[in-house]
Amino acid sequence: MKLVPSICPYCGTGCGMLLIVKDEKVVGVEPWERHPINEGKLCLKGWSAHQFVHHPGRLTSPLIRKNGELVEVSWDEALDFTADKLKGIVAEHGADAVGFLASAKCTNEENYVLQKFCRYLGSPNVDHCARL
Amino acid sequence: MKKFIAVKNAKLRSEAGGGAIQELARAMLASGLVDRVLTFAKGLDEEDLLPAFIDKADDVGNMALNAYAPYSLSRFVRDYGEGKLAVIGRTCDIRALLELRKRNGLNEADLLTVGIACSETPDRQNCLRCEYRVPFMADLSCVLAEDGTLVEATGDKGAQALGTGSFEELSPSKEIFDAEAARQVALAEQAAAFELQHASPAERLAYWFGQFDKCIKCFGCRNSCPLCYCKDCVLEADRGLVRGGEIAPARLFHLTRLAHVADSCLNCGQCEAACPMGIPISKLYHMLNKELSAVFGFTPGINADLPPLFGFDEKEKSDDSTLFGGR
Ligand code: SF4
Ligand code: SF4
Ligand code: SF4
Repeated sequence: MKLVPSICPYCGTGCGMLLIVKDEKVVGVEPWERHPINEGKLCLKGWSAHQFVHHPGRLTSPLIRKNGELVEVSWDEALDFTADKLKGIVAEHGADAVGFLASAKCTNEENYVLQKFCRYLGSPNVDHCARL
Repeated sequence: MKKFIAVKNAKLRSEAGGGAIQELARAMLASGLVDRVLTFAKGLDEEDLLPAFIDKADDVGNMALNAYAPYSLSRFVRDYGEGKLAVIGRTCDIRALLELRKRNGLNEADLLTVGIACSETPDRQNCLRCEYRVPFMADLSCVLAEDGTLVEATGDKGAQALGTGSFEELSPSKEIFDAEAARQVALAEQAAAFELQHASPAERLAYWFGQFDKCIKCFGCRNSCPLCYCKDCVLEADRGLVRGGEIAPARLFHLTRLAHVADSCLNCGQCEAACPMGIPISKLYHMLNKELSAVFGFTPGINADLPPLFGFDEKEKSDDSTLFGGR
């Protein structure tokens, strides 16, 4: 068993947590006392944050709907598919026709990259789940 | 018999306690007496202290002795302990292990306990109640001084562990015992000063209900408590008390947990340390445990005595009005 410092993925507060890792599997969490945001406290979601990691219901590869059915595809295929569609929509309808949803579950840096990408395409439509 | 020891190699003596604890950990691992040592070790920086299983004798330098971090080592033994294990921890860790052992939560034969007395009289709020500084209930009871460690083996197991290391026996100065006695007095005074002013029952009830109403049901207090060891906690949904899709009502949540652990509460403060709402939970548990202790003559975590609410008698088992009755 070892404790691996991490950040809670569940909300924008970003509490520090220690993942309890046993035999290379995440089996629990422990609040991280040294983290300045939460100083050793977690909410119910944080205390349960390990549960989805190895959950059998978790998607482990991208899915594309083909002939009405979702099928597992490689990351390369999924990214190519998405990039083609995105380019197509922007070419046909303009950048205003696409929007990007950032997430409170990601880091500041990841969200920065997302909005940068959105503006690079020329779209003003960037939003995030914490406004719901 | 107490001995005052330091590690034989004078170069390694700069650590608190004359390097004796590191030497003990190293020797227990190197000799194969134990496979792993569970203790506090340095994490990302000097102040980041985390529970860690150490399995290589070379890694003992990373140990963080005698510093407080609010993690209960006993819970890590309960959940992840296996094989031949030594725990080097604070008195509250050792006391919790003793209580878990009574509840068949541990593998007794393979666990060796080394307790270290917290060196300063703790001034953090959550430790002010502490009444047991010296871990006399551990296999090895240790008090760190500047240049050596006062150690006492309380049985054969402790003596065998001590025998693995190369120590030099020193003669302790009188100041060490004086300082030790002064700390004990300071701690007892602090604990006594902490005892709640007894307000009227109505005031107390209003105060605690007001506190319970702040609770966000994170379950942190339950998760952090070394005594809350049930695999199927009755406070979770669909266990007979709380319906599926609901959470326990604020006051019942606390009164239920109180009813389950107050007779054996160790006053370790883990529940309070984990509470995001700042509810002084340990204060309540401690106060109640004091009162129950006086009624039942039971003090948790100091000897092998069983807690008063240890099992169900035949009448309780067959009585439908008890929670588990008639099942
Ligand atoms: S523990 Fe709770 S408050 Fe903290 S980041 Fe996770 S979800 Fe948000
Ligand atoms: S109720 Fe709180 S103080 Fe008592 S043993 Fe549990 S965590 Fe420790
Ligand atoms: S830790 Fe505090 S907020 Fe969380 S369930 Fe316990 S009392 Fe309530």
